[in-house]
Amino acid sequence: MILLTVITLVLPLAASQEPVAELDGKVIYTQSCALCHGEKGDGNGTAVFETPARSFVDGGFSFGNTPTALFNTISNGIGATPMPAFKGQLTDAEIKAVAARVLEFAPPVKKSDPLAAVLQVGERPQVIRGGLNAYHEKDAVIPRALVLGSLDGLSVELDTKTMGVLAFRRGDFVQRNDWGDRGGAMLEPLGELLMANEENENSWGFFSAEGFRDAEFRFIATEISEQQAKVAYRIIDSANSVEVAEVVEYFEIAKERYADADFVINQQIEITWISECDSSLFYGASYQAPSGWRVGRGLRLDQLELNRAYDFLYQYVQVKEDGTRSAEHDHE
Amino acid sequence: MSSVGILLLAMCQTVEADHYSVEFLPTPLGETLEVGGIDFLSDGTMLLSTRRGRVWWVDNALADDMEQIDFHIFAEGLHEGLGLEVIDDEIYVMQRGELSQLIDIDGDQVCDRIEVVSQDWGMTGNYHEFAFGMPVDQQGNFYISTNVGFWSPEWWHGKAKAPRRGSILKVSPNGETSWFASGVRSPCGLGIDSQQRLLYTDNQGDWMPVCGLFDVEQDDFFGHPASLRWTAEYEFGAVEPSTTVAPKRQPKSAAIWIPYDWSRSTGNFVHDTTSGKFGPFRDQLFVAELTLGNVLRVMLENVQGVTQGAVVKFREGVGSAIRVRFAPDGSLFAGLTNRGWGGRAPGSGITRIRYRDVLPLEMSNISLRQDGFVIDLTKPIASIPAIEARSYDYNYWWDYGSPEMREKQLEIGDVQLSADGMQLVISNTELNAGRCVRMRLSGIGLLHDEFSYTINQLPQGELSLERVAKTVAPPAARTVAEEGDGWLTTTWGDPFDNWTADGWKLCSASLSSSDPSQFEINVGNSALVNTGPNATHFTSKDSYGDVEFRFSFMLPKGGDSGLYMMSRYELQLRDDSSCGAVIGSKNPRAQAYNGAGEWHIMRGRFLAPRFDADGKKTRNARFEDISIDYVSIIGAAECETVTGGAASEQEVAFAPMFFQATAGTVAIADVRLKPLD
Repeated sequence: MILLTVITLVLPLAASQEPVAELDGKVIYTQSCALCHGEKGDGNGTAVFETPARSFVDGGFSFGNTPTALFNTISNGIGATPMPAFKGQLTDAEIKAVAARVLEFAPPVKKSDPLAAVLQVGERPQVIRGGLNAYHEKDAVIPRALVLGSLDGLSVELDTKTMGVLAFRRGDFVQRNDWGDRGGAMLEPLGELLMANEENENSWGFFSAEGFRDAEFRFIATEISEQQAKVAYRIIDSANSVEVAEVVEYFEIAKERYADADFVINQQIEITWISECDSSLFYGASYQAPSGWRVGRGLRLDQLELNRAYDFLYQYVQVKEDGTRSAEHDHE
Repeated sequence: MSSVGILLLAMCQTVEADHYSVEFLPTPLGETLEVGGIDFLSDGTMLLSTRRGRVWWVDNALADDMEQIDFHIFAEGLHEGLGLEVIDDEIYVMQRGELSQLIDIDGDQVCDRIEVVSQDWGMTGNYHEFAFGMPVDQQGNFYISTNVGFWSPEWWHGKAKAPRRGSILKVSPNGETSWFASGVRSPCGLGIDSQQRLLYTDNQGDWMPVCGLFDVEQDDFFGHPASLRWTAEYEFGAVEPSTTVAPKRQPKSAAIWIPYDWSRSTGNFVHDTTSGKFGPFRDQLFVAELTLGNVLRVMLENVQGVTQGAVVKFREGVGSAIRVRFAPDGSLFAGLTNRGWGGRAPGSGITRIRYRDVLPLEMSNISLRQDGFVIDLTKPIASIPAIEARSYDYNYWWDYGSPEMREKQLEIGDVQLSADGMQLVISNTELNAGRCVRMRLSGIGLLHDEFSYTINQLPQGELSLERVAKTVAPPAARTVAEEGDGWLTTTWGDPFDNWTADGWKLCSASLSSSDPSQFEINVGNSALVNTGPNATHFTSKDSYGDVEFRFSFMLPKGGDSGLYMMSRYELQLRDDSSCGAVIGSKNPRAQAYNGAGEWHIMRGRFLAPRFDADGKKTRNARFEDISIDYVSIIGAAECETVTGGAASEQEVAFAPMFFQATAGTVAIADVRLKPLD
């Protein structure tokens, strides 16, 4: 098996590690959160950032405003921002208490409609199957699609025909109402749109880039583990009708920060099986970056050997407007 | 018959509930359990897939004490689940775009991995591209079926805009998928019976005169032309088959055409494997029926190599059943869904039907003779029944369903009762192939005294070429009067763009089974209902003068509302014979209103009052050509003054209209308007 996994970089600065005397959300908040978010939750803490810390008073939350969503955000942090992961520093009970405190700052939540059908990522990552409206062409639909939702609030839309990425979002997850009325409605992804495939439906799959000739993709499975929502597919050399590799991939928001990037998404690739075919089939697999984004250096599959593990970091990097720095973090 | 005899009969006559109990299982709090698939693990655990993309794990589903029944979510995020099959304790589910295996890796009774078995059929994303499944044959092959799609404006013509739609597919255990049979329309139920026959049910519509049960063999064609598009004859997709002219290929006849008054939306079926635990109907089929909330019973036989037989009613009041499955204890579970339309309430949940061990007097078998029928009974009878029968056939054409055609009364010849009183032989009766026979046997206390038999072939003689569904000249083209050409579809998209309405909800509605004076409100956008306690009138944002109108409405028991044209002149919407009256002017001349819980279409024209230059009224407001469900109820009705409840006494030339919210509950939908000025 060839394993390609992301290397782990040093996490951003941790907040106060003072022991917490009692389970009082207010106290924990003051000790762990107020430095950045302010005593009153208005984002006016004493710490100074390029982008101010989130104000809770307005009710805007990056990854949803339910206690579970906040628990996840506080536990896991928000990649590529100064918001650290508190898992390990606070107990689960403490995180719950502080999540409740944070919610108190917010304006009253609009009462949820019992008939609404918003799906949320709860304790585990989620995979949703359904149809999606295409981004690349008005009125076109992708009848078979997946939305992967991870605990860090990232959701990834995939076309199971091409295994290409349709969009990245973060925040809320998916609204589904395809049972309403006469049925069959498309899914409605809800998060903030980070990147949408507006040009070419085939260009965003890892292995579907130009240079990977005669490839077809066969979606074979999804799997949910405690931390990841993964998708598995086979690559088929269609000229010779042979399967050449089996791939598992998943996505996550990068924990490390970049001075010039607002946001980094890692696409994790694991090759679980590869045939002893002509490996030049894979030659030149690399990405075209969508406008406003750049992509870390491509993987040279033609140089892969069987039974050898590879560390690899493959990234979609949203570039700040004045950003010029290249993000090359692939390690072999 | 003597009065004593009548009295005795009355004592013998039982009702369904004496023999079969129907219990509704408690469902998870807050969940609308729209069941699309049911099966059981070997330990008795029940698994339910739902239209809403979940699979529920149900512990103690067979418990007498329903309090012990426990639901938890096994899998979610599926793209519908209109079939579920357990094979050697492995769980398979039929999604709209994927036949999948659901795997619990760590044994915590929650699915972790979903593996694709097959995705090899086309989809365009059309709302009606359902996929159903999926019985497994002795070699481990799955059979699945794919619905045709429907597009506006000619919504009644089913089409296969992607390959392998309108078809039955065979999926081998390793996922290889091949085209097995074609010509299906809305093939909601598939199953394999005790003789290893693959059978499927289809739903009434274009090229399907009524709902039918068909036996399926490789390369069969069942009559709906859409799927032929993907054959060589139609250049593999390049040529679309005619939607109005019957295809050259002759369709296979249905084994059973189910009478329209017994089934309007047929679900799946199962055969009785309970060895008597479910009563005396070994190997027979039990068929789910959604719209009427029934389970039907089917007896099949092979006549000159052709599968055909009889259908009878079995049990009413089970809710809008789309799926049935026998549990290991011999009870029959029925899964309910109303697909947002309003099948017979309840429209969701799961029903358990149990035999009470009280033998009903039923026709236990019906088989065809050249000149009649042999009817076996479950219990002896003492006298010969009174028999009435008629025969009929159907039209095979593009229109939406067919009435029973060319009906004839059947002259019954001889009727003999066997010495043990357990068998009736009807003979010396002229029967013809290519006909259905509907027969009633009254006066002997049968629990269900009617059957319908589909005669594709008679037992002797040359094989007949006559089919029950006969190709006929197509009807004239259908036009939708209220589309295009100046018509405004004011409630499509977001209705609240065009109407001001506090306390109204966009939803789906059906009559509540517990309180028929109320609607059961569900997710959907097929109805607008004044659910709020202080709902305001549903008022148009625009003003109208002369206008043609068409809208749908439904009232609960005792419901009361009205359409106030110009906020002044009321067209009555009330759950009684006054429905459709122009208040203060005319009552309906025909009774077209069908009662609470039914959707109706109201059409008509309204002409605003006219005024001269000084503002003096020169002509009264008037309604014209009012109809309910296309039955004309008022020719013309003048309104000399405004109606009680009007927004203003003063008459004007243009004003908004409203549906009244304050008199009672109403559901309205699809309000279309065509301003005439």
